Amino acid sequence: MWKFAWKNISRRKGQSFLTILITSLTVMVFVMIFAFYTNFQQGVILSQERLGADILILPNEASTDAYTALYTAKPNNIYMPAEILDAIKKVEGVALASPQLFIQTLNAGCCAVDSETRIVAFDMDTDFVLQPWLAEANLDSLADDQIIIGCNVPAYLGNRVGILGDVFRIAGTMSPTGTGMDETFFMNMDVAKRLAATNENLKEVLPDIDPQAVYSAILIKVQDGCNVADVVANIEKADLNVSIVATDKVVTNMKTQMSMIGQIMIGLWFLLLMVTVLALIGRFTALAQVRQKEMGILRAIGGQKSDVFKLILFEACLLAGIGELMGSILGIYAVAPLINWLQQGFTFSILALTPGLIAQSLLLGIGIAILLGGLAALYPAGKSARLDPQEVIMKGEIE
Amino acid sequence: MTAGPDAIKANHLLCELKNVVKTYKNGEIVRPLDGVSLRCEAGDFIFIKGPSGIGKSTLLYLVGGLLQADSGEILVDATNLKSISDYDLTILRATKIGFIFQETSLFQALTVGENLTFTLKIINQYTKNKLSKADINEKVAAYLEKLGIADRQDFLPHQLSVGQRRRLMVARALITEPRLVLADEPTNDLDDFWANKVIELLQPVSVRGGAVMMVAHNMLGAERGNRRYTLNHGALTPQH
Repeated sequence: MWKFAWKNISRRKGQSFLTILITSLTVMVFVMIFAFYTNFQQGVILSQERLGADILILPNEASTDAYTALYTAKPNNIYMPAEILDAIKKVEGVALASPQLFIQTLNAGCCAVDSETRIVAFDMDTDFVLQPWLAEANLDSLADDQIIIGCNVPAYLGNRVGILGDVFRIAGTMSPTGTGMDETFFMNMDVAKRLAATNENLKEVLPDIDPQAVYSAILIKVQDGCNVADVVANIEKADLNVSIVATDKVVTNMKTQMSMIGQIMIGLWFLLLMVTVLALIGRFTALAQVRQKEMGILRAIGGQKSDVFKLILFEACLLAGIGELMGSILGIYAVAPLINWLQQGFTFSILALTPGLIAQSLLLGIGIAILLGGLAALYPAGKSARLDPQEVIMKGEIE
Repeated sequence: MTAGPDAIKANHLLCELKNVVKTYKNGEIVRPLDGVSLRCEAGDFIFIKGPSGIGKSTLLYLVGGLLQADSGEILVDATNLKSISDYDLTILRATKIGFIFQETSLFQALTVGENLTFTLKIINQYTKNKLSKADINEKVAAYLEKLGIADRQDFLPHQLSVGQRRRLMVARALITEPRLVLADEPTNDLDDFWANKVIELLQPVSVRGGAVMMVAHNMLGAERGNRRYTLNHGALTPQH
């Protein structure tokens, strides 16, 4: 019966094409939504895991945006007095506090970074966020002419890169984090301070500051057993005129927003699924109607009711299967450039597609196709199987 | 599947209609069969003539179990069609009856050869001595040759002429070597040569112990019938 079903499909190309097209488009949209949403969600979780800090202290300026600081690579030249670090270290519940200084690259000529990219300078002595990455790259510390680059930063001169007139050796590349860290340069605090103090072009874009006396951010790890919210409250009590961001809160807020977007996406897709099921029911019913006489002949030459049922169901499953395959492949192809595009413009965390996610999307696509084909074919298959053969054979033939 | 001469004795009752009544209600009540009785024994070639629309096809469909009578009894090979399930009726139809339909009734997505192969494969599932793939291919080739459409084996039905399609339907009914062939206007659309050829092919069915029940609106093939009837006003009248 499978062979017969396949011949019915392959030799009625026009009819099959339309059905496959409907299925393909639905599966494609599903795969795109699923791959995009899952990818998005994993990015946020990964960000939280890899951020390493429980609390982020930023200058209390109107322009300071925790999302931008955490999730984008946009240069964010914000500063606060360095003394704040000492005050923070004294707050009850703070285990580790490490400062960072943000500067940036400038538009430059050949063989150098030619766009404005954030540079994060960190303190080798107190850092607890980047140390694991250094260890992964088998480095105890960074030399003055060494930098670490985010996974999406290209090297311009083999393993070297030109920044603000100096050439740096790339000591290591970080694993993807799904955050702005992926597009950031990381260098020694002292080197960054020197660049900020001496590079005339950079001085023009930075506010009027003494690089030796400021920091851009302070990352805090709370003591074991301490509640992050309590430590935040303690810092607030210290009245340091800073912006305090509990990183889990940022991630939670993002997750809530994502969940809402996800619900809308799934709702819209569900509606699309319903419309497709109805369209396919109509399609399969019409096909079964047109071929009623053949079903009657099949019964007349010895086919049982179950054979008629199976034939319609097999055809539907084959059509849905082909549609699934095409839809899944198209979906994966279509979602990859979409993710690339969003990675450039979105402030959310978006990772690249992984083989696991592709496989998951394909498997779910198969599930959707079976659901589509099965649901849509059950009614016409059952109806065809129940037809009396004489009724359909003899239409217009009774004497 | 095969009803060879050894398996069927002469005078074996293959089919019997007892006082069969059939009525259609489409606005007005039409009764094409009004108490028809008929016995069909092994070796019979029954020819039934009647004008178009008189109920000849209805009679064949009733015998083939494709229609149910309002009253009366129909027995095929000693089985009362009313007393068996749809499943068993399908098996009986597949293994003992060969239909030649009046209208084109082929699987449009299957080639000429595949239409016959598929039919044999369907029957194969009900028989103990199953035909091998080679047997099926050999049989298909032989019947296509007999009916002059061997060179059209890989054609789809819509690529055939009306006459070739008719011959393919005849081949499909005969290839299973049924005990009872129900032929509904089998020579329609055929030229004289092929009309006579088809009648010739039906003849051996009765000779080898089976039976043929053929209906037509003209007398072509009537001379082959050992029993001839006219159907009119719901009744069968013997013709001599």
